[in-house]
Amino acid sequence: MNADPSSRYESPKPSSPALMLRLALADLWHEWILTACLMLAICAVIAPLLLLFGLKYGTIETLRHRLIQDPKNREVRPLSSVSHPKEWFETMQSDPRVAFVTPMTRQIAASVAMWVKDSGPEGKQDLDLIPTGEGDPLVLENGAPVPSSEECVLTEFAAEAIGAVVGDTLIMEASRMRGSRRETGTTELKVTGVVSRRASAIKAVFVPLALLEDVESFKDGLGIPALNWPGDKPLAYPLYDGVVVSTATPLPTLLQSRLRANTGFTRIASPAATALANALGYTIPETQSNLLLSTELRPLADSSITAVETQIRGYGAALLPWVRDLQCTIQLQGSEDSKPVRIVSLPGDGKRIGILPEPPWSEAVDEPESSISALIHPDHTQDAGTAQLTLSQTDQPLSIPIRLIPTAGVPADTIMVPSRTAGILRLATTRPLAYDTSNGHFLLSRRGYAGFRLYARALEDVDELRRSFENKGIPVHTEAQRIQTVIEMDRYLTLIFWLIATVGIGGSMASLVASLYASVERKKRELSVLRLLGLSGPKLFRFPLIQGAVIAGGAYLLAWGFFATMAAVINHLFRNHLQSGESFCTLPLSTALLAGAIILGLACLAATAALVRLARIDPAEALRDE
Amino acid sequence: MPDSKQTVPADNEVIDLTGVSKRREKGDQIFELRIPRFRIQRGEFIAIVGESGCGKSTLLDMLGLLLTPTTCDRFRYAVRHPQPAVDIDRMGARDLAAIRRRDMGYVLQSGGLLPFLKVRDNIRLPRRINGLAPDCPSVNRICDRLGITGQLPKLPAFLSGGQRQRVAIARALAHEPPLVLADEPTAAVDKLTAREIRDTFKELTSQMGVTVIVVTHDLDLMLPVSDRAFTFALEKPTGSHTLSTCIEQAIR
Repeated sequence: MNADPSSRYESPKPSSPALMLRLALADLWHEWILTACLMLAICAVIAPLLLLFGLKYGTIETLRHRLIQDPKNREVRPLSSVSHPKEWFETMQSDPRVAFVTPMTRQIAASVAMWVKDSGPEGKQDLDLIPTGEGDPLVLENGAPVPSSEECVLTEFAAEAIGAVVGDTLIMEASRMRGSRRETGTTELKVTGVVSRRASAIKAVFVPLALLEDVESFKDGLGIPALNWPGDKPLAYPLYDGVVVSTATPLPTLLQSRLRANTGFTRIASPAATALANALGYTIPETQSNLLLSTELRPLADSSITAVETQIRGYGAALLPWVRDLQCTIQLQGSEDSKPVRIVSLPGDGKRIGILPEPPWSEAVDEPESSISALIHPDHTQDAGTAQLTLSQTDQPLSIPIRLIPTAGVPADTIMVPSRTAGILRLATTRPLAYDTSNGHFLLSRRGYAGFRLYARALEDVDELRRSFENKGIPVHTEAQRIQTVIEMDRYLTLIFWLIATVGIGGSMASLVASLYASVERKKRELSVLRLLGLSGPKLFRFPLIQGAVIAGGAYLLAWGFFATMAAVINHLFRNHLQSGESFCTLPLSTALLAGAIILGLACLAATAALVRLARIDPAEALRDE
Repeated sequence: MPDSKQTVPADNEVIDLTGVSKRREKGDQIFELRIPRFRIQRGEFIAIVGESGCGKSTLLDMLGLLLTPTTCDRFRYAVRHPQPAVDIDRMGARDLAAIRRRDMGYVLQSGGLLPFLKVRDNIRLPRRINGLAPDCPSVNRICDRLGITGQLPKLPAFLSGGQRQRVAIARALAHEPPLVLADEPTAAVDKLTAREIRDTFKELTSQMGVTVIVVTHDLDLMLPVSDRAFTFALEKPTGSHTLSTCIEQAIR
C-alpha cells in the first residue's frame, strides 16, 4: 500500500440543501394520483380517530363547562342560621377560594309585595328579596347587571308574575304589624335586568344588601328616615351587672329576699365597706346600710332596676347601678398617648346620700348624652378638656368623645361617668353600637347577619370550602355530589375512550407505517439511481423522509378538513341541546398539534425503517431488475 | 479538459485492482468472481465483455464502489488527478459516495433516468448534487453533439429508447467526471442507433479525456472503439460452485 492511509478524500462540496426537497416534491407531483391515493388512505384512518377524540373532548368539556359555568353549582349554602358579624364577611371575601359573598338578612324579613308602578297595585305579588352586590356571579353570569341603589334585577319567574320588563319602575312595599295595625313603607325600584331561568326557580328580586337591611329594620319596628318610613330609632339602652340599694336603716329581711324575686338579680350581699368601695370605685358614707344585688348571668336592663325600686318604695333607698369591670382607653386631645382606664359608674342618685366623689350630674332617664362628662384624677389633666374614649371590649371598637372634669378623690387610672352612660358602654360590650355625634345618641347597630350567599371561585374549591365550614361548625349544602358525578363520568368515559382509541390508533399507525413503507419500497429504483449519483447517508434519507412527511402532512390536513366538516354537522344536529359557545365535537389546538406531530413522527419512522432495509439491498438488483 | 494536461504520476494508472475477489451465495449456489489483475490507464476506453451471469455487472458495481470485494490485495484509484491515489478498501462510505458523486459518471442499461424529472433536470442533477452551476456551455455542447437539445423540456417517459440512452450519456458526462462506467449502454436499441450512440460516446469521452469502462455482451459493437478488452473464464469446480476469472483479452 503506497497511499497514505490517513489521507481523507477531499471533503465533498455541499450541494444545495433544497435539492432533495425539490427532488422529493417533483417525484410526488409526478405521481400525483398515487400520492393522492396514499394521502386518502392515511386520511381514512386518521379522520375517524380525530372525530372520536373530538367527540370525547367536546362532550366532557360541555358537561364540565356547564357545571362550572352555572354559578349555582359553585354555591355554598348555609343550612342553619348562625349570626355572622360584618368582619366575618370581610374575612370570607378575602379568602382566595371565595368568588363572592354577601350577608343575608333573616328570610322572614325578606318578603315584600311588588307591582309595576304604571299598572297599579292590582298586580301586587309577594316576592322574596335576595341581597346582591358587586361581582355576584348568579346575577352577572345569567345575563343581568348588578343593581345599584333604587334598582333591582328580577328572576324570570318574578318578572312573569308581575308582568315587568327591563326598564319598568316597580313599587316595593314592606309591611309590618304594630299591635293590630298594619303599617307599610314603599319605595320605587327600577328594573335593570332579568336573570335567566336557570338562576332561580323562585319569584325573587335581587336588590342591594342595604335595602334588605332597611326592610328588615322596618319589620323590626324601626323607622328608615332615608326612605321616609316611620318607626322608632334604635336607641341604645343601658345594661347593668348589679345595683346597690343604699338605705339609712337596714331593710327588713323579708323584703331583702323579695328583692330577688322577679327582678332578674340572682345574688344579694351586704359586703363590708372597703370591699364595696373597691367594687364600686367610689365610697358610700358609712352610716348607710347597703345591699349589693347582682347577676352572674347576662347584664340586666333598666326594667330590673325599676322592679327593685317598686319593691322598696317608701324606704327612701338610693339605687346605685353598678357595672362590673369595664375597661377602656382614653386619649387626651392633642396627645398621642392613650392610656387604659377603668370606667366607674357614678350614679347621680348618690348625691342624695353623699357618695364621694360627689357626682356633678343628676341622672335623668332618656336625656340624650349630648356631651358625656367624666371625672378624672387631677394628675391626668389639670384643665377640663376633651378626650377620645375607645372601648375595646367590643367586636367593633367604639370611640366617643368625652369631656374630662379633673376631680379630687377620683382614683388614678379611673374615669367616672354617669351610671346610664356606663350602662350603655356595658351594652356596647355585648353588641355593636354607633354613637351619633350630632345629637349624642347611642344607636344600636346591626348585630350581624342571619345568613349568607357564597360562591366558590372554582368547582374544585367547593368541596374544600364545604369542609372548612363544617370544621367551623357551620353545616352547608353544596352541589358536591353532582360535581363528583361529572368528574367520575369523565374518568369512565376517558377509560372507554382509550380502550377504543388504543385499537383505533394501533390500526391507524399500522396502516400509516405500511403505506409509507410501501411507498419507499416503490421508490427503490429512484433511490438506487440517486445513490449511484453519489448521494448517500443523510442526504439520501431525506428523500423518503420528505415524501413521508408530505404524504402524512397532507393526509393529516385532509383528515382535519374531514373532522371540521363532521364536527360542524354534529354540532349543527345537536344545536338544540347546546348553549351558545358549546359544542359536542371539538378539539383544542394543542391536541390537534400533538396529533399532527405524532403522525409526522410516525411517518418519518416508517420511512426510515423502509430505507434502512433498502440500504441493505444489493444496488445491482435495484438498478437492473425491472 | 484539465485531465488532458499530462502531469501524470509515474505509471499514469487510474485504476489498479490486484487479487480482488467477490463471492456471492444464493441458496446453495456459490458464485465467485476473481480479478487477478485489472489496471487501467488514464483516458483508456475499456470493454468488459461476457455472457450474462459471468460477473461483469458485479465487476462494474465494484468499480462503481457500490459493492465491496470479499477479499482484495489492492484496490486503488487515482482518478482525480493530480491528487494521490487512494486505497478504496480503506475508505468509509461517505468518502466512497464522494468519489462516486464527483469522479464518476454512470450510464445504465435503460438510462436510469429519474422519471419525475424533465430531461434537462436529469442532466443537471449531477451538477446540482456536486454544487456546480446547473448550466454550463460544455453541457450544452454535449447535448448538441448527442442531438437531444430538442428533448430537454420533456419527461423521460416521452423519449425513445435511443434518446434515453443519449440523455443518460449526457448526464454521465455533465459534471465532467474523469471516469465513466457504462452498463450495456446500447443493449436496448437497434443496431444502427447503437453504432451512432457508440461513436458519439467514444468521440465525447476521448475529447474530454475521460477514462471509460463499458460492460457489454456485444463484442463486435464495442471492440472497434476499445483500447483494450477484458473477458471472463468460467469454471465449475463442483455442481453448485461457479468460478469466474476476469482476464484481459487480446483484441488486435
